[in-house]
Amino acid sequence: MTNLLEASIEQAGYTSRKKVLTDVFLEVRKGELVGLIGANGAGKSTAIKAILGLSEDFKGHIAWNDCSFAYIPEHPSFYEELTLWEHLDLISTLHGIEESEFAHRAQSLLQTFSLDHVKHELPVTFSKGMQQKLMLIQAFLSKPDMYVIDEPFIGLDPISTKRFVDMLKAEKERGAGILMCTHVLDTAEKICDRFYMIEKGSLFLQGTLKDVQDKTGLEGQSLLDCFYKAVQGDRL
Amino acid sequence: MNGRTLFFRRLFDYYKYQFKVLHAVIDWTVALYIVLPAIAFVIYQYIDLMNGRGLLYEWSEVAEWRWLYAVCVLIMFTGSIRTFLMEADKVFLLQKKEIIYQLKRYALLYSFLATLAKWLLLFFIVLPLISHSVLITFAESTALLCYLFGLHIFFLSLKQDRIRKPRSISRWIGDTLVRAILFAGSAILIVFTERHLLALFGILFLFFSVIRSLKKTASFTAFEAEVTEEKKSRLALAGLVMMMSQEAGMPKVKDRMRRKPLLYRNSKRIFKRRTICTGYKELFFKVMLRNGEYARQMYMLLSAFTVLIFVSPIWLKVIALLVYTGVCRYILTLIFDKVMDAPFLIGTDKESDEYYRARKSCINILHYAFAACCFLAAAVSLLFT
Repeated sequence: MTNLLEASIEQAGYTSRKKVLTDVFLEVRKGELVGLIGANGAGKSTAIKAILGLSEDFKGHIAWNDCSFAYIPEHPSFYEELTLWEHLDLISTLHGIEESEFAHRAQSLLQTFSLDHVKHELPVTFSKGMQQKLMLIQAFLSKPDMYVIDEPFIGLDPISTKRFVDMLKAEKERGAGILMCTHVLDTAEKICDRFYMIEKGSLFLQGTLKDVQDKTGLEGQSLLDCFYKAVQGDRL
Repeated sequence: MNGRTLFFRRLFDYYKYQFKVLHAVIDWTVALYIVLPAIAFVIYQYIDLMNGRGLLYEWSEVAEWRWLYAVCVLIMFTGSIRTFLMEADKVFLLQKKEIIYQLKRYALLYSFLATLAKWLLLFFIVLPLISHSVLITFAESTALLCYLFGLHIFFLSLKQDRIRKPRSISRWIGDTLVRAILFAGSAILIVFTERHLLALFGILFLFFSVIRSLKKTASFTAFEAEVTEEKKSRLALAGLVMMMSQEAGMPKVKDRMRRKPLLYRNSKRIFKRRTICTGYKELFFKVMLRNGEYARQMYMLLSAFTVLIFVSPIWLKVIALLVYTGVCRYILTLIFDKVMDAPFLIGTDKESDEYYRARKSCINILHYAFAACCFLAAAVSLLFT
């Protein structure tokens, strides 16, 4: 499989807190869903920032291999002055999507995520879940080669969570690579092909669910159990 | 703890925060080299004006104190009925409603006193000056003060209503019409009415507004809207300061009422052609049209330079005009870069020719428009020279 993303992070952090992350090497291949797992403050979001080139203090190399990408942030980020539809129009214009194609795709996504009735309203007034859906829609709209997703499930209702997961699977089938950072391990266990586990700013475990189970000695156990044991073992 | 203690604590915190904001901008070097000389200059001009000479006196001869109407109208637009509520109050204090009632009543009293202070300040500064050219007795000026204060409180109580209702074009038109009628009616009253009647109208406005505001104070139905307004008031000064900075920015206070934009409703486009270049342009112009902060920033800059051009001699007008065109372009560039720097545009190509073409075009269009306004002001001011 072709690597869409190769990230070699020697060091990443912030001007006030340098070296939040050290020696993290990860790659995402075509048609692969990779989970980035870690406790609060472990350095997952710092890793994502480094991959996107937003890290204030960064040493290393990020290779995107000429692929387009879409980013779904943990905290919804949008223009307070634009309506939901204008956001979608903007992102599709900038990605060169034809108007008829845009209208068809946008309408279908809005219906999937039940936002059709508020498409001409300002997202700043939406609930957290609705704002999160805007982030998902704008990412799916451009059909990129690669998705970088940070905690996508927060605030999503069960129906939308199911539809989002189904769409991720469909995108994977299309050949898109997905790097997803999440705390919802039971969902991650079901949909991710491989995992990178981060603790205290460094990578301490990686591989498929089987690899993780073997390395922690918990054969047949859940990802949560494996992660818990690995982290506790590391802390003790 | 009671509402009174809570009010004074929050009032103290509020002024402490505003002081910190000012202190962050005006350090001792700025104070020594810019603020203190500016204050000295203003006091010097004020004394000159009182003695019937100086730059401001010459200008006041031309403007004949009609500008005072404009100042009064501008003051009417300032202020709000404060509540000093905080988001966390709904978790920690909503069970003790009496404390919140007390807090809001003290905040209401504070809002009235702060408004009164503005008018007293204006009168104490202006009355000694206009006594040379305008014949106004102490009783007449007191009646005028009473009327303006009452009307201002009435405006604040209308504003208090407005935050509770969703925005719409019809409501906006209605509000503007009410204001226009009240301003026009007030001008007629001030010019043609006896002082007793003027004072009576002021007292009636005040009485009516106090009753309305007290009723609103006792209500909890607009708790979230009041918290939002309170946040806006607290961050207003800091927001004004941060507007000039590209790196720093204030967190926006989120308005929870579901609404559509007033201009280009139903997501209508400004540009019919749909290219990457027009995409960036569409974004920039919509942000400029709908973001009150940016619009206010440009308006304030334009107003300051327009006033400067009006009161300056010809050689200074030219310099002011040149400085304005430079500063205006610089600020427009800052705003454009700030708008395009948003995380929403991560993944789009901001190194492309289309991006730079859009940047140049957006900045040029607004730059020429604002510069034209300033040129127009300069041309009109020449008529008075």
